[in-house]
Amino acid sequence: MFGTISSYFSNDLAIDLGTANTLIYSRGKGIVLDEPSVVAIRLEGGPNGKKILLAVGAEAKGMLGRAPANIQAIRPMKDGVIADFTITEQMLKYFIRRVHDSRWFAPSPRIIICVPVGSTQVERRAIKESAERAGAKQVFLIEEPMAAAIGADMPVSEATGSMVVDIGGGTTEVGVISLGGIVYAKSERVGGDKFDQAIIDYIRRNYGMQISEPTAEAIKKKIGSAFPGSTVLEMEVTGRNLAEGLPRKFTISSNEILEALTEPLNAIVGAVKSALEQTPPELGADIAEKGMVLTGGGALLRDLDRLLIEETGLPVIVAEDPLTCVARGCGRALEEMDRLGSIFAYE
Amino acid sequence: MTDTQQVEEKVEEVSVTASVGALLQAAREAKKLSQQNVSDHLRYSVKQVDALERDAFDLLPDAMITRGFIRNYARLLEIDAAPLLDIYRQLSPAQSPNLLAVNPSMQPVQLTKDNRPWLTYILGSILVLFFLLAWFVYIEYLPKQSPVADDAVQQTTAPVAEAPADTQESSEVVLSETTLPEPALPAAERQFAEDAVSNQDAGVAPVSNTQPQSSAPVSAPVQAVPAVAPLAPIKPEPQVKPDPQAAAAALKKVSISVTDKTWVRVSDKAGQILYEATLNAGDTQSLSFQSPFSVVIGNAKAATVNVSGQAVDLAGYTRSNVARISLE
Repeated sequence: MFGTISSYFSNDLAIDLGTANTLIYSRGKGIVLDEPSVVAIRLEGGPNGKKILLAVGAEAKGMLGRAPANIQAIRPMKDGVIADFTITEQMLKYFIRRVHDSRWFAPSPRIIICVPVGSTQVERRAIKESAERAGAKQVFLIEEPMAAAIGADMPVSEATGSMVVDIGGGTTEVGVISLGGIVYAKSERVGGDKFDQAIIDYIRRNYGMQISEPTAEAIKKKIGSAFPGSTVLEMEVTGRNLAEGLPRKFTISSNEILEALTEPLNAIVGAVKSALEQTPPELGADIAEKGMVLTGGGALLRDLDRLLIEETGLPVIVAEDPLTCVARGCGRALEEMDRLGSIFAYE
Repeated sequence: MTDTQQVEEKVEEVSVTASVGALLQAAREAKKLSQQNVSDHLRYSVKQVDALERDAFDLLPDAMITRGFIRNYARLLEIDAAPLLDIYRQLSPAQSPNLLAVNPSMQPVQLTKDNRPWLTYILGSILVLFFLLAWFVYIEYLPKQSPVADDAVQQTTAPVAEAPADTQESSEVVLSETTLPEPALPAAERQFAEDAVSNQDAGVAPVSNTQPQSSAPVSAPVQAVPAVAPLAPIKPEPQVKPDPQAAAAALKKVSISVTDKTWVRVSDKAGQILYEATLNAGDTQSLSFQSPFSVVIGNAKAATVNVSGQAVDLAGYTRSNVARISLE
């Protein structure tokens, strides 16, 4: 009864506080927010002056790399954890208020928030406190591989091994799950951001051109590939020639991007192989039969599943709607949180 | 005719059967691939490929894995996976979602601190109810009772409530109830008193139309005060020798009529409270005090003040709707 009263005033939320995107799932409503984790702040009165929140989300992302000196577009999350505590708190506060219905009551929801499996106690506490200061009444933590597996509709509670590889913006989480718990998990600080950085570095090294992060992201999404395919895609890119200092156009192919991405992709393959090595044989047999499931934005990189199939010799499946898997998994845990206990993580 | 066109035609032929396995098998044969080739490519065992082509879904792992398998297989054969998945959904029995808890039949696990909000809600509700009750009692009962057992005031306000217009009558009631002796001042003395007061007022200025209390008691003005100021009774000073002239000049009758709930306080020069009450709408209160004294009216807009029968313009004394009048 009191749960009903409580839910009347504030909807419980599940938050996938990702390095690249923040998704919010509201109890009974599904995913209600999907915005980039970017905040734009304006500095007033010099570098040590007042900071004013200018924009959050997609609007702030549009300012990345285009802002004047007094405006900073900040990504407060780095490698899956908080890099700027105050800005993260303000961003969360803004997002929570945006999905809050009632104008009469301040939002004070119960929140499930996901954390990378490799995050330290300090990093977890920072995420928890940041959510509490953003208005949460209670904060529960859930580890990303568990949320991703639930979101991908894997049989997490059964006595069978399920392997999930969640490639997010900042981290890659590999988890082997059985009987409602994580048997083995490994977190590698490689993700979409590292892909972008690898593309930027490659182009600077080989073309002598400087490109921005948004451009690198666009290249990755359009022609990025993890495995040599039969077709070669090309894309025209504009960057600043480092020798001339002038903007120049050039064309880059998917094979070059594949070469650029080799290093971060090897890190992911290494993490997967390492997880398989550490998995108990009985669960390994289950995984060999069912394969592993890819979730997260990184799973959308062309032929990444093909690369993992070739490298591991196991079936690989890309989950349906991989971008929202973690948020949906957190949401499912939220819907059933009153009956659950063991799936939540501790600080 | 290209390979793709051939595959599409073959798929259309078989689609009548609405079988996922048959469609996949047809597409595979059109591509000239064996089950072993598919197994090598997708790393599913030949048995699993065969089970899928025979629609033996019970031999395959969970539904989500099978769906992924169908998607991968369709991509390998370069055909659209969406219609195959639709057919698969129709063929496979509706599956209940995977459970998250290992043993859902066990007692619900109480999450940390989860019971505390319940207590907060219960206590909060009780507190709110208590305040509502207290407010109701205050509104309904308290104003009807006199602040203290003050017979004079009670009897004054009661008739006025019935006939608020008749303020003259109420003032007479006050006088009779205060058990003061009727004045017996000669006309000459009364005139003297009037002059004395008007002379004093000329110096003070705020109250211009004040008149002396003609019916002021001479013998026991101080004793009379407790009858109308029960909250802070003044110590009787029976030893004081009354000076008829001074007393006549000092005692003033103040009549306060209100059109809305108004708080009134009368205090003497030393700050001692002589009278304090909250008047209800329509009440008229007539009081007599030894001057000098001051009157504070909490809701000046709703109050009309008469000093010795003369109306006082409160505008000059009002600040923030609180009037403070000093009478000397």
